[in-house]
Amino acid sequence: MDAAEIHIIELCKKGDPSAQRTVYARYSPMMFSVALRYTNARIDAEDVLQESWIKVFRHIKSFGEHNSFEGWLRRIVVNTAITHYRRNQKHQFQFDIDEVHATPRDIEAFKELEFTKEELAYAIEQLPKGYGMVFKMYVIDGFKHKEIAEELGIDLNTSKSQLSRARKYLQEVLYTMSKRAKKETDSGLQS
Amino acid sequence: MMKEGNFDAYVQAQFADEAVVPPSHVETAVFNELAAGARRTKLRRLGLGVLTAGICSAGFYLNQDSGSIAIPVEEQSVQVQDLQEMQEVEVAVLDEQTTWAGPETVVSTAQTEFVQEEEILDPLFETQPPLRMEEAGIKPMNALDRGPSIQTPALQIETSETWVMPANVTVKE
Repeated sequence: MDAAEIHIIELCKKGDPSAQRTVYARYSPMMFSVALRYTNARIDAEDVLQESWIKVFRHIKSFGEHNSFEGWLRRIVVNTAITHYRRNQKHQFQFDIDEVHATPRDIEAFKELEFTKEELAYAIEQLPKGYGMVFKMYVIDGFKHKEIAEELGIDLNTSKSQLSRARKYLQEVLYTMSKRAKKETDSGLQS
Repeated sequence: MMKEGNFDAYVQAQFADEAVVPPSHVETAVFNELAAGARRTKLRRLGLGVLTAGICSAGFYLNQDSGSIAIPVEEQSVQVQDLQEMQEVEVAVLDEQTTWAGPETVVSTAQTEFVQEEEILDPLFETQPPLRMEEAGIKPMNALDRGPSIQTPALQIETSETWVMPANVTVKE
């Protein structure tokens, strides 16, 4: 963190409204994208974002300067999204293990296909909820397995096994997508 | 074959620096909620202050009623006298007690008390004057009718005109 950021965080700790608005303007787009990733609908993401900012400003005194502020904000959003998700859906993450029968694929085959972010996001959305949550937390938002286990209320080994299965499942989805795309391209060329 | 680490890095790179501008009504809602929270905190603090002041004043008045606070405490100074002075006082007390009142003094005191009682009871006796024993038909009891004779204690025996005192009189310090 640079000195200006530390200064503005200090002002937020004192409850300065203009500093709070500055921080909000700077980090809201990042936080909203995280919220969108962990929720099914945009309206839910807005609720999560609002709840997250309230938490941020109420607990900003507990933030230490030696940590990454962005990482701290990201964790708050993910935590809030999980709480929101549980409250609305009462989802049990452990029950997803037997739902998927993923087959490992050679990802080298679609390595060069260069999926767009939207395609990748679509593929991640195809994951069962429990797998998708663990995958997003570990791979995209940089959580550790211990943190994931605590956040989701699951065993550490469950988190590891779900991540492994999520990777295989995602590769399968991407392989199917690339196969379909290749077929469409071939048919387009023939016609 | 792409390793797990590479696959993770590939996916992560796709989502790095992802930013979506939220709608403006979220900002309004956040800062309205913060302002309301600040107001609630102020009111809570004010309420706590008033409550504390009320409890303190109630406690003060309750204590005042029970008298534990309002009673002024008078401190009596205790002066330590010399041993010689204390002995003199002791001797003087003993002298006073040896020359203590004879029967006349006691009787006179009783008389004065009786006079006072008569004065109080006078209005009653004016309407019904006291009768003598003979007039009332009351006969004195025979000796046989009395119970076993009680030996009069030595202190009450009138040997002379003065009363006999017990042998030793001790005065406590």
